[in-house]
Amino acid sequence: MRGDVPVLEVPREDLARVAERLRDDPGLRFDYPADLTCYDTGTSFVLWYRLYSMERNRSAVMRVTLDRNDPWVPSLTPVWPGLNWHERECFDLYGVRFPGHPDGEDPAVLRILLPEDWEGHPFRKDYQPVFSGNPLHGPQERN
Amino acid sequence: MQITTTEISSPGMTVNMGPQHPSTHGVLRLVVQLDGEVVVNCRPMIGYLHRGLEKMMEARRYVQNVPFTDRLDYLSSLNCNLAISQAIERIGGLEVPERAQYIRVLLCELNRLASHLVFLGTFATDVGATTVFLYAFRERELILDLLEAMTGARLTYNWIRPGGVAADLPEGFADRTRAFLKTFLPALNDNDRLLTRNRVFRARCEGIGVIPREMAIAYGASGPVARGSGLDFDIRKREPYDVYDRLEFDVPVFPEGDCMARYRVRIEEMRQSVRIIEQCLRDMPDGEVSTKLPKIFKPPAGEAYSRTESPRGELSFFMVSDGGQNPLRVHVRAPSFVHLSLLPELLKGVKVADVIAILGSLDTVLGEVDR
Amino acid sequence: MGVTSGELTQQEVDTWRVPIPGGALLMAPVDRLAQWARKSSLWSLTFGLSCCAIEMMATAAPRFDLDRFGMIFRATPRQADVMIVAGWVSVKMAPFIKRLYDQMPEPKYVIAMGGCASAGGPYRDSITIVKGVDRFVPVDVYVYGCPPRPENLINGILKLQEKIMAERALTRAGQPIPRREPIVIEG
Repeated sequence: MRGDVPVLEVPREDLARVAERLRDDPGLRFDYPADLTCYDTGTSFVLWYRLYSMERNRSAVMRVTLDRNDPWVPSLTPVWPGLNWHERECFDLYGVRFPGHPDGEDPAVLRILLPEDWEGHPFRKDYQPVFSGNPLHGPQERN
Repeated sequence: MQITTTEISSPGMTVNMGPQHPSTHGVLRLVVQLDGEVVVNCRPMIGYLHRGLEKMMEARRYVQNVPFTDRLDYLSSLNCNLAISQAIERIGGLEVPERAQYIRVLLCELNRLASHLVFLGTFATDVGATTVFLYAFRERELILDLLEAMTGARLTYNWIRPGGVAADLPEGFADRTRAFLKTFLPALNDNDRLLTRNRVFRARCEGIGVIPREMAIAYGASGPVARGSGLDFDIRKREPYDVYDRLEFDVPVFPEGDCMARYRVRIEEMRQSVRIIEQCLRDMPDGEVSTKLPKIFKPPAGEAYSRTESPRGELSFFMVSDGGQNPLRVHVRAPSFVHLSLLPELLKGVKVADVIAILGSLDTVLGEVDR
Repeated sequence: MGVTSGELTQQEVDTWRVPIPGGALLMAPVDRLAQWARKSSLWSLTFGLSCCAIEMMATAAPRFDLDRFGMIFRATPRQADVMIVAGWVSVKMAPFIKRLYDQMPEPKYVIAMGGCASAGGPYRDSITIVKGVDRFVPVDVYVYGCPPRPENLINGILKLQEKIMAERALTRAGQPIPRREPIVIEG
């Protein structure tokens, strides 16, 4: 990571509070949600938020480490509306839950990239696809 | 935001637009709830082009992932190549020689011209001015000739690699480019005159799809969508990369936030791109065009990200390395993904006929939305 | 002059002209005449999925100009003769492609444009990509390339025209429409 971008390790309990502080504090003003993604280290999930302050031209990064057997964080869509679809994507591909998300908890509604009836979360390191054999539905065989 | 009242009410009609539709750029499905002619709610549904590129990238070496990026935002492939190359360079600690940086800027700006010409053609077609499509594509063919002389490809170039570019400019490239630029500016002015003061075009674009400044910031809008809402936000100025900090160019910003403003931003950007290309050709030093990568490229464990100004907005690659030859994670932050999430809020109270104009003015490419 | 020849030469057309007092008649086999009309006015379904769609648009644009082959793009499958599948086929999109293909009236043709529509393209280890549109829709011409150059696409369309010319125009009622053999165009 570049040296001048502060990286905040935030535990899940403090996430909502820290997010609001980052956005509203007049000295910080991180009002622009640039990115949210998740990655699987094999032993845990890490949620990675990148924020940007439009008036101060500064970036900041928040990291939250999660247990991969029960990954969830409170949804930050109320703080930064731009994270809405990013959170849906993290759920779709990794299975991270975001209680408080405007679209609720139903997987068929939350899924955004994969078909609504897809089973499993493909970007997890332990995902094993069950090939359907049907070109119109389900995981497709690799060539 | 007026709701027109009529004698005949047709409450709660749901219309499905797409995924195959003459005007949705790419494979986007919009489920729109109408009250008569007015949109009450809309739900964009994406994922019809999802390939799981990011997962496939985890199974390949860093350099092998560069051709995948061509197919992300396929209208500005060189910019995507640049974004992933920057991320790989940051995570691996590679330097790019100066001549390569100038060539990168030159290629990206040529690609910006080509991409904005596609926007011009398709947006005008959406709004009804089909002739402009033919003129825009005619100019685009000239740019593609230049890029083909350089890279050998017309659309998916795979030319900007980690460490620099694949090879040097061919002979005579500078003269051909200058000759092209001389003919391009009058052609651009012609297209501009066809549309910008045209009464029908203005009626279809002015005041339509207004994105207020605060909404643009809160949703993470970038590129022409943000600059059309009064935000002076261009990564080439805010966090310059390659040689952008040495080049003189202006960033057009229009405060109205409607389709017209976004269209005018892109037209002005084309003029500024011409300036940048001329300066690159003038100032380019001699030298190497690439740093050699080690045969076994194993960057140290850690995270890195790159930010570039693609013709659509802020394109950013996030990479995580675990010390091995393959990346642990590659994430693409695509500007079109974020702009499409604006739609539910933006389309409330809009007439159905304006939905297409608004969608066209956002200039989304579904390849990078779905990845 | 074989009924099954894919080529329509000027000589053949000249043999159709029967002079009569005051002018001439055109007498031609129904197969030749009908297939000539069909191949010269192939209306294509606007079905660009991804990068190949941009090259398809460029083929329709002034430099390469598809209009001179009689091809225009129609948005509704009910008015289209040929579906050019341009781009990769994801499993989420596949049912829609099948539905659109079913909605096209006979005679209908499919051109698989590009490596992705032909065989899955560079996405061989993706589990959401169908490895070729021919897994659920019969393809008449495969045009390879990533993306294929406009000249290559035009070559594919011309080969399709030859294929159409070589067919019989009518089938007996009750008989199934014969399965056509696909043509492969290298890039």
